[in-house]
Amino acid sequence: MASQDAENHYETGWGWAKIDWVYNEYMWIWVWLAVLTVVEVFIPEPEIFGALFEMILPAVGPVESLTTWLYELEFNRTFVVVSLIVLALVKTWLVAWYYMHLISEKPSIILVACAPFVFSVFLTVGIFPWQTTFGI
Amino acid sequence: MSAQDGSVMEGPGPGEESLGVTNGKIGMWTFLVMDAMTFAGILAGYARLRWTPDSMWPFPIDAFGVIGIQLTALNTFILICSSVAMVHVLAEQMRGNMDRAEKWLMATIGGGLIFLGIQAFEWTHLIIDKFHLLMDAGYNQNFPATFYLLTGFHGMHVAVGVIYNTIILMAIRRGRVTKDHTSTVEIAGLYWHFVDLIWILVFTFVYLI
Repeated sequence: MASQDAENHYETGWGWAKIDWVYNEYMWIWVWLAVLTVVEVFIPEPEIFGALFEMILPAVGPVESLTTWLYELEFNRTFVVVSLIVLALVKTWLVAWYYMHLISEKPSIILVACAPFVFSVFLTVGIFPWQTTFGI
Repeated sequence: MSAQDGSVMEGPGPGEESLGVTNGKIGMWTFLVMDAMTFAGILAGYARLRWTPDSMWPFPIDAFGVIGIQLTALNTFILICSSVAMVHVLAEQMRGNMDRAEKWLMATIGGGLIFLGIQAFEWTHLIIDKFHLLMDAGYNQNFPATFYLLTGFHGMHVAVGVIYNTIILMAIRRGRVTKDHTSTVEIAGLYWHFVDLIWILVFTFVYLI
């Protein structure tokens, strides 16, 4: 996890807010988390971006067609649910792996950290309404 | 190992570690695992109620509106920024720059306070203007109940995290936490990142699905 920032500028750091943005892994994770959050909001409700563009951009030709397209865009419900769960799991993994330092932790701690995930899977499978949803 | 790998810089003394990990860190991880299971139970209960056929569960856009989801997405971003600020607290402490560590910690606390402020505003708006209309429209009463349980329980964690970080900030200012006490800051960071991690799940389940 050593960044060039820490190695080359150990005492002072450099760049905006004394962060080496290019070589600092944490900042890249932060960028990924922000981008994934935007994607997460876009998938279920594209019209939110339509409303946003309408608010911040002037209603001229191409922008108007973009906002109209965003208002009309709708993804399949199954795709929305599955993709949102996958995106949320990716984001939680990024936080746990890099920010909570699981990447450099001992295997015993990683195993302990995985316990709630296993518990969640069992719990979800156990209490899912199989009978009423799939008739099984 | 680099300074950012999460290891403590000073060696633990006799009886201060188990399985090669400091007792403080094991204690925090044990607590977090227990807490995560509590959240898992509440989220699974939410999902069970949500997926019940004919549950009359409102879609998030109907319940919160466009502005509500935009505001909560902003709140999510603020918490992510607060989390990365906490990472810099530890990084600067390991460099020995306690002044900058202090500033990053203030940014972390500020992020937590802004998050709580926006959540309080949202709750007020939903209580006064929104949820009673949903109930009148015949939507499931479990929706507001589970919403307040999930976001309230998480908000309580954020409030505790803000207090925890404030105590660490005061300890840094008084010189009780120095560049040699990285373990103290790392453990506080674990809690703060956990709060961020849980919000990612709550945001997805409650505001997006």
